[in-house]
Amino acid sequence: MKSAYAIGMIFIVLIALVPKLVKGSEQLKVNSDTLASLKFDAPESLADRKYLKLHDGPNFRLAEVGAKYVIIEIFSMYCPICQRDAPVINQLHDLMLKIPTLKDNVKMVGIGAGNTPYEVSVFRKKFNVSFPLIADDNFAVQKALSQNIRTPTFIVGKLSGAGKVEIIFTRVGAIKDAGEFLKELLAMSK
Amino acid sequence: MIQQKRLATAAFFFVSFLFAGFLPVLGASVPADSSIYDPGHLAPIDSSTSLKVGDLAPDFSLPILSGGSITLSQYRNRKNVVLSFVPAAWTPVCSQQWPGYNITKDLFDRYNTQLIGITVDNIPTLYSWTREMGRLWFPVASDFWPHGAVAKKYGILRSNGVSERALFVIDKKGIIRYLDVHDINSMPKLENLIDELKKL
Repeated sequence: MKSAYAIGMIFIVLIALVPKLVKGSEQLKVNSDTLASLKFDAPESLADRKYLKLHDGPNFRLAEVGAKYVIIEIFSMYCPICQRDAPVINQLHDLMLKIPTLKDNVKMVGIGAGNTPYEVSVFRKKFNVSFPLIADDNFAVQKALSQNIRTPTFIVGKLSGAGKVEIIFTRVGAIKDAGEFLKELLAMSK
Repeated sequence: MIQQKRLATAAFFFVSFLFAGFLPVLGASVPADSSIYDPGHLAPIDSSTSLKVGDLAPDFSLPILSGGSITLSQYRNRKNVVLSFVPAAWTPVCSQQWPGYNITKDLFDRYNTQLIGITVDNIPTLYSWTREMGRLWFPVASDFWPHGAVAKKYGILRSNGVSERALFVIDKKGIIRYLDVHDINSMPKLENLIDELKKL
């Protein structure tokens, strides 16, 4: 019996260690208060500000986006996975615009981690991105994440309208299918 | 009694599995860059180049990934050249710098500039690594053997045998017009490079 318990203990230790041995395999945790408080430069484009329903001013916080939900893509102009994924993300945005209940209630915004406004504009032009992309050249978004930024990362936040963001979904890695991802989000929000 | 002990042992294993193994695995996620080795924070610069703006860029020939070799002076009187030295394959910043340049071919073309990527890695390593980036439009040269000879000639070989993260803008006359021996831990800003190309 003692040997059975000894084997059991070894089993516990080994299994508990496995996720730590696999680099970066821990689940991403987002500090919602920090994320809500981060201040970014407001988009220059009037259309972008209108889409996000932002008040006038040079800066904005994600919690101020005028919608019930916000889908945040943390990306980089330099990230080859983000580049390959860009058409899928555009498709996701297009799909949402076609569904009336989503069009006004869910907004998308990209945060270019470590990217300057110039670099973000290069990415946007290259991939014809129709939703707002924000420069974050100082990696401010890192403050809200439990691990080093890996791009692309997707965060879905529920906005209370009182300056709060409730994190309801996170994903690290590319989205292979826009339709399936949307179904996943819709199922989760029910 | 024996049956009770067996039941207790089985229950123990079940609980062990449930709490120590199954739950963390459910919470695991796949990293976006699982193949990238993170060397941690390094000394920003570990070399000292004597080259400066206005100097003639040292000529060199190196084997390139697509076969054959490339010689700097083959662009003399034809094109401006940007040499992008990156320290090592499969490391964080390096693995994104060239994919960034890969979507800006139009900018390099606009200023009649040939980009050449150089690392001290060998060709097979460069082959595997750059496949992860997609199809690169610019030549990738291997400064593997004699190890780091070109990086050394440019004064940017670090003490551990990799090169600095460095950019050299060379005009059609072969003159260095801009150089940025950059902090190895961070990405040079694209607009700084493009601004230099505009000046050519």
